[in-house]
Amino acid sequence: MEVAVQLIIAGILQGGVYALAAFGLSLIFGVSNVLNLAHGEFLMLGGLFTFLLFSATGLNPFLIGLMIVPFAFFLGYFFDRLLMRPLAAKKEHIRLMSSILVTLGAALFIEDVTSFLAGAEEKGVDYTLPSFFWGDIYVSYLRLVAMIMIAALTVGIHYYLKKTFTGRALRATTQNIRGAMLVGVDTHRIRSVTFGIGSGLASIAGVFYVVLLSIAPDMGLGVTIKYLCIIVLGGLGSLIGSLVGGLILGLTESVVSYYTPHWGQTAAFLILVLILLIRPKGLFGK
Amino acid sequence: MESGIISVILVNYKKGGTTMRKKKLILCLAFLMTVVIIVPELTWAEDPKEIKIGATLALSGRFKGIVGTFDKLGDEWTGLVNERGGIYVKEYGKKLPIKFEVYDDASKPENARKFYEKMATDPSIAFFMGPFSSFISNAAITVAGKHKIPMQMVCANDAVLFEKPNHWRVGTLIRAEGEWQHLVPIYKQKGGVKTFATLTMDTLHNKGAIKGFEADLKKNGFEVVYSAIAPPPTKNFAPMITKIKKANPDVVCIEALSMGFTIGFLKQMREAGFKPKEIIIGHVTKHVIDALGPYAENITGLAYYVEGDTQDHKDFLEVTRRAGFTWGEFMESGIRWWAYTRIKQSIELAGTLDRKKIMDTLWSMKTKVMGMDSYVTPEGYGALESYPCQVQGGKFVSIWPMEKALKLHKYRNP
Repeated sequence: MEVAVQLIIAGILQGGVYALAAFGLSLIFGVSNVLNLAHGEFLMLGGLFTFLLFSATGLNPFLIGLMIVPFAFFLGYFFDRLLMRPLAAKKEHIRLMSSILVTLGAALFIEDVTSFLAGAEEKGVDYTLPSFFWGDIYVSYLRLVAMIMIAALTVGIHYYLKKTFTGRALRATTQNIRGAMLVGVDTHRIRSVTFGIGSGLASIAGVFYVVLLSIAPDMGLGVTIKYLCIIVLGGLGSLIGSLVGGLILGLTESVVSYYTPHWGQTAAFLILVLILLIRPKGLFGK
Repeated sequence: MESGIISVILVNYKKGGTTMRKKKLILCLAFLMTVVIIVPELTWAEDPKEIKIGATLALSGRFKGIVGTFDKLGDEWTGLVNERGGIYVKEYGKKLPIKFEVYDDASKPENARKFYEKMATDPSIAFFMGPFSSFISNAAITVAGKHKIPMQMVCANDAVLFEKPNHWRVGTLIRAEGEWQHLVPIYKQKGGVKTFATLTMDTLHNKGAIKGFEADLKKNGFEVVYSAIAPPPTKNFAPMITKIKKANPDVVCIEALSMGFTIGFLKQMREAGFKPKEIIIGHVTKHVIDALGPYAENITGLAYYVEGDTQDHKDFLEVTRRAGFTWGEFMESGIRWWAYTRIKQSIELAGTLDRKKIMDTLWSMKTKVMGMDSYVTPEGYGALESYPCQVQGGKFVSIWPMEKALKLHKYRNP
């Protein structure tokens, strides 16, 4: 029984970390209809800057994370303005294909430049919080913080989308881009803002990554593919879907890896295929 | 020059009678063919200006963390050898400078194969040095065998590399199964531990090393209470840690060539509050120690280095100093030094750059490296073993063999 509880807790907390990173990717797809293959690179950059600042100053990595979010926002904003905006006028299928190629190229570029400037080796931050113990069961506070953060972000972004002008404009752009333009929404700016928010969220996930695990310049594409699976599982563009998708992946990995570590990830992707067979648009896809 | 010869042929052809003309034509053609065949040979027979060694290295990708800046180490070694005039080649009666040609294989065998094939087309390449890991070397040795270019493998000692006969490759290390062998006497001698748990990253080398260690443990009366293999991209170790905790071993062993794998496991073990008496990590580098901080203290590991005072030791420490790291920061740097030295020794002993003669010498020579015997077994394995080390005071220090060790082994949680 204790083992089962432990595996569920570990799975949920791991799922929270996955969802945190998948959140931004889902948001960008929802608004811009762009599969941003450079998303993992923004996560890696968040982790890398946290590592560099932590090594230089010894400040709390989460404080550093908060400090770098605005920079990540502007990085994402200008990424959209410079690379994605020229594609906005293209036909939808051409735009989707071109955006995949452009973001893939950008991902490889960021990976190479980072390897050259900061070294290609693994980097990790030595920071921990004591876990909470109840008999043999433990709850990692670090992962709990990630879980609380994802819950807070889900609520926060939900209210942002419902209550603010930019949020409503963002939703309008998602639902009908021409209609949004007709009522005076600057859809180009909205897309750039969405990219900025997505990058900010990825950089926060990067902070957790470098604290809980380690980062390396070539990790980006691997994590992007994993997070793409999560948002496909949850339903492309659905924030709650990303959260649920992350949790399903985390739980499946956790339970299967207990018995056979080799099949943990494979089993998680089998679940993805099964769900897509039953619901081709994902759990919360419309 | 050739167009000149052709004009001479044509002029002669027009001047003489038919028989004479034919004879002259045949003579001229024979001369022309001789020129075409011999001239390039004469050019080739010129003394080479340098000895070029071709290699690939995992300068990016999942093995980067353990490979570090070994390209720089190679450059510094060639720098040191060239400062002393180079390598003496008897055939030419002089010392020739050496040069490395290194490509980044990005930790992928297909890239390594492509680059070795490319280098095989360059006749000035005298020697191949193997890539990092058995996994990538398995692709590289086929190129060496196909083009008959001598290859000194480096960090590669899995059985699969030596199963098929291939005259054109030899190893530096003993078989992977024996890599952890010097750890067993420590626990036998000290006592206090009985049960072991092992988690292995799914690569040829890692699986071979742990297979041998588990067999050694069982032979010596220890018990393996948990043993699992996990794929290289594994990030979620909590389920494995839960199971290991339940088995409650005295010693937890991690064998992984990816530093991300090791760092992830240890950080999650810290989260779980699990404190076994001893932790053994097969590959500890600077990045693991840095990422774990004080938590890395008293982690036991292995390195291919034994303290000593030979000229080899002095040169090795000088080369690592110039490359900007210490042997303890990259525990596999000792293997590199052995391979460099074997390359140098084989050329000196063969006295030629003839590939066949060099390869025969690599197989037959019995030399000393860092005061230890260096030779090749009939299967092609080398003689270099790994020796237990431990993180003490934030640094990796040697703890075995006891008569040469700088520090004594300590249990992490006595």
